[in-house]
Amino acid sequence: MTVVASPPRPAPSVRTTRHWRWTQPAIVLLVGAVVLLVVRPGPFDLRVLTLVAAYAIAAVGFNVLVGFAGVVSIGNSLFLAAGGYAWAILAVPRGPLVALLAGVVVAVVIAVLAGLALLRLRAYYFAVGTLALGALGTVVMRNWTSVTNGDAGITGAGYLKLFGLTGVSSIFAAAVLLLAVFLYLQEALRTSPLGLAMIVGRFDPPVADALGVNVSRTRVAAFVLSAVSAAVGGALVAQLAGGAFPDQFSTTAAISLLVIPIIGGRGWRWAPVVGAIVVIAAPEYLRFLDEYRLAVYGVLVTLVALFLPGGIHQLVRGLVARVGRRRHG
Amino acid sequence: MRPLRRTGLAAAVLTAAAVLAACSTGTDASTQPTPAAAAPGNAITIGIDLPLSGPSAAPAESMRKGFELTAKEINDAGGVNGTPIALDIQDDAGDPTTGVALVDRFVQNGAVAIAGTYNSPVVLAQSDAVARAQIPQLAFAISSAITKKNNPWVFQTGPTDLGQIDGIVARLKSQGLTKPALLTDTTAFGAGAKPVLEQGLAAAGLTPVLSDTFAVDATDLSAVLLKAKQSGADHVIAWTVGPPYATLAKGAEQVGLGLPIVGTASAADPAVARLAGPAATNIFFQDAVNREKPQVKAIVEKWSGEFGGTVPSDALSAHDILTVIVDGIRAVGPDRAKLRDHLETYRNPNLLSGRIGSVWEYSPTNHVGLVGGNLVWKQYDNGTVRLADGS
Amino acid sequence: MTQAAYFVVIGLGVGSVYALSGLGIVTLFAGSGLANFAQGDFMVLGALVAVNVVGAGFGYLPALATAVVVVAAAGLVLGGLFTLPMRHRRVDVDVVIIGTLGVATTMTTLSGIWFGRQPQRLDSPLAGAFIPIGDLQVPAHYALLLAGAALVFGAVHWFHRHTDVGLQLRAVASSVPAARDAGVRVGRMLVVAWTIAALVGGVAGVLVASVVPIAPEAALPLGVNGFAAAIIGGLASPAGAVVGGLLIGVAEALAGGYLNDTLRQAVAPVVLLAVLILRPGGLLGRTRTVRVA
Repeated sequence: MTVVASPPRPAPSVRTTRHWRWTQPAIVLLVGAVVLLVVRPGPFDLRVLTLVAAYAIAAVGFNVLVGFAGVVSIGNSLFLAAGGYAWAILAVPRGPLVALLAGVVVAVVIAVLAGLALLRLRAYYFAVGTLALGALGTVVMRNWTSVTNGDAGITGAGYLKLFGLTGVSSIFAAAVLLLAVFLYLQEALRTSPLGLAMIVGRFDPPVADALGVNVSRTRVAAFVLSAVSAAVGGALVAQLAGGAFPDQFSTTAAISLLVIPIIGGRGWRWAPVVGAIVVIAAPEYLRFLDEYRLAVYGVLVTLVALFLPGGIHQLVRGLVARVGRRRHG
Repeated sequence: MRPLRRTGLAAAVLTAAAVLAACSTGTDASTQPTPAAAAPGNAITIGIDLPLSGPSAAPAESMRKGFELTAKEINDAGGVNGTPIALDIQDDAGDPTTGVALVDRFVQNGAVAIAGTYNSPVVLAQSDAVARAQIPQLAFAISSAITKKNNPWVFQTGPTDLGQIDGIVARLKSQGLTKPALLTDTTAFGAGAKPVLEQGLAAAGLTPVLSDTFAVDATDLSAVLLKAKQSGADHVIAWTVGPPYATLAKGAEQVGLGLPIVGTASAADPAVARLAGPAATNIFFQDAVNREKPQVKAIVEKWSGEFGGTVPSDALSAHDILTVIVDGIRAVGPDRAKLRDHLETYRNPNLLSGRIGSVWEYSPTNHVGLVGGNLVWKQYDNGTVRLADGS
Repeated sequence: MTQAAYFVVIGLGVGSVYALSGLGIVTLFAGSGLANFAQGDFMVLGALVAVNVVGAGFGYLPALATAVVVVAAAGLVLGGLFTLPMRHRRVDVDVVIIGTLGVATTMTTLSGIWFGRQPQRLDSPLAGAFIPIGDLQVPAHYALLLAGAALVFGAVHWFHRHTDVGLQLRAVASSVPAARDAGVRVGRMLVVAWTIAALVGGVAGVLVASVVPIAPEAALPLGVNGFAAAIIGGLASPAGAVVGGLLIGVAEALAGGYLNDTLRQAVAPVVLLAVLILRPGGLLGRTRTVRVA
């Protein structure tokens, strides 16, 4: 009766292996540089890749939330929105650092309050509670016109100018850089006391209690982390669209965020990146399917959820194991 | 349990902070435009951007059908000077981020022009990308905020909200109505039009006795109509898109409103009569399409089978939009810059939209094809549409 | 006073829409422990099938019957699909959520391709009839919805409490291993639970279509409102779903009537969050808090 998802299997390989923390950031930076300098993709492809990186950043926190702490939220579009709107409002008059930090601060405040109020709830109750939170956020975005300009949204948001690059190339560079930082933090967290406390709290609450872990506090911490990374991702999404609009941060966005780490493999360190490639890029490149595009995407998501609950990580591990067996046998 | 390696963490965060602090917010639009367009002999690609999924999927579907049928007619008649046209129809789901990405996609795939999209926020978000890529766009979103951007590459089909308001004010005057109750929906469509409406009414010396908003997905809107009834208004101006007019009509019946409801051009949506039945009565609107026009009659006759009855105005608008683009390409070839320049001199009295004798016309200072005053007043009467009295 | 009564009656009618949607969600949850985010799509499928049957010249009742059969068949297929992995292991909450969300995306898209995306309405035989309240009129459809919600509730309640299959379903929902040890054929029961939830969704969809414009894209809001109703009530309690739905409906109608429509939109999420904070198990649910997931 065990779950096949990545973390639960008591196999020592997952938990105790410590990856060198810089491997992932280094790979991401290298791939990013190669894409930008060597591959030089067309404007649409570069935009899709940037969106993938932005969602991967947002999903790092979600991977921690779902994969480490075992909490499911359908309301994280709210934190994307906090980051996106803060960027759209503040980036041009106050500069990028203020805009990014403001989004993060707003997201953290909301996450702490909502986390304290809701995280004692049972699974579906918390999920639907966050869904309501996201819906409330949409109502606020639509109607608090003095700040958000309502449904017409805020345009002329500007973007993060890096290394003398312009336009989408610069946003791409910023997204890759931030993604590297967040992946580093994810790996650092996994081996930290807090990260271990989250994982123990998820899979063995009695042991967690015995170890003196305050499970509800680690859950709030995970929720706050997911808010931080979503806010940064949201700021990048706003840059890509050139502004912030309620339609960008709808329930659909929250669902995408939820699907990413699960498709990738909950808790796997590559889950945010691999999941984002599948969830964000795949529908763009499934466009040849025309009207059946979303139907095929939906079927894929359902099949993975039902028959591959460890996500792509499960596939990867299966392949690695098979190769290993062949080599030894 | 190993403690978090603080030095490494601090180093990473500091590096990121330093890089971020050293950078600035860019607002320029300086990406090189991709030299465009199809190689000779291949089909000429036109990008069609529609919200085919999400809340605006219904009108988008009508437009899609209209575009496809029109393209088929054009290609059956030999295409553009012998070259067939190909439509690259894409779904933006009403999401601005996707809409902006689609501009780049169309450019990358060599589209000559973009037709779309339906939602004003998406068109506004696309504006910079369209200017940067230097590709002409024919947007059918009606917000005058788009007009105000004065983007040389963006053309609107019109009439915009501003143009429709002129028509509404003129009608109110002719009917001797002086006390409007103003109801706008909370989508971008209504929220964007609300200040424009209030200004336009104020300029005409009309002060709304009630100004309220409503949600398009509400099941029952009788409460807001009850307020209108009790406000002492002598008519209701309701600004929304398509199906909610049916909900308003039913609400009006429930509270015994008894006042004329003045709506937008999208009240012409056949869904209104289908959803409200005979309750759809006393709703007045300016239709972009006059179905008495001979060219409209001809198309409607040809297409009604495809739509199973009434051909929606959205589909006929799609016919116009594609005709304008193809006329342009026919005149100057599949070249984005030349097409843009040509569109500023475009003039056509034979399109489907507009009242009989109206002219679709662009100029360097006017990027709205059909300006206000070119529409036909119609009204719902027990679930059917007829020309309004006194128009 | 007349107005207040009118708003309450309208609210009960609209609330019945939420209650009907919530009943479908509760039916599945109480019979399998699964929360279905595609319940709105069952309703839309039922409504659109019925619209097409009526469009082909048949009556309301044949349309209702056809819709129920088609949707129940869809539920049977999905039940089989979702039961396969559950035979061997516990299915996590997140996996159920995205699994059913995937189904929702697929069904919404396919409904759009098969039935078109134009909103449709299905008049019940009560079309055109009104119940007068002072000088205001309430469409008789609303009364039909309320009666429909009561009837569906009664049927679900009776089934759960007074039939052998209902008892087995409740056993499965509370603990799969315990049910299996007691001799319940878990796989078969899960398929039954899905089919019944779909059946409820089909009936609900046809009823609701007399008031709510039905397009494929209406499925998500219908499902979300149903969840609000179900969660407020306590997720496993059919009575709770009805109470929750009516509560939201009346609160919305009063907010829309005496405040404005903008605040009305915030009513459902605010009521839901308030209930969750004050009574974490829902109004009629167990208040015991259990660890998440």
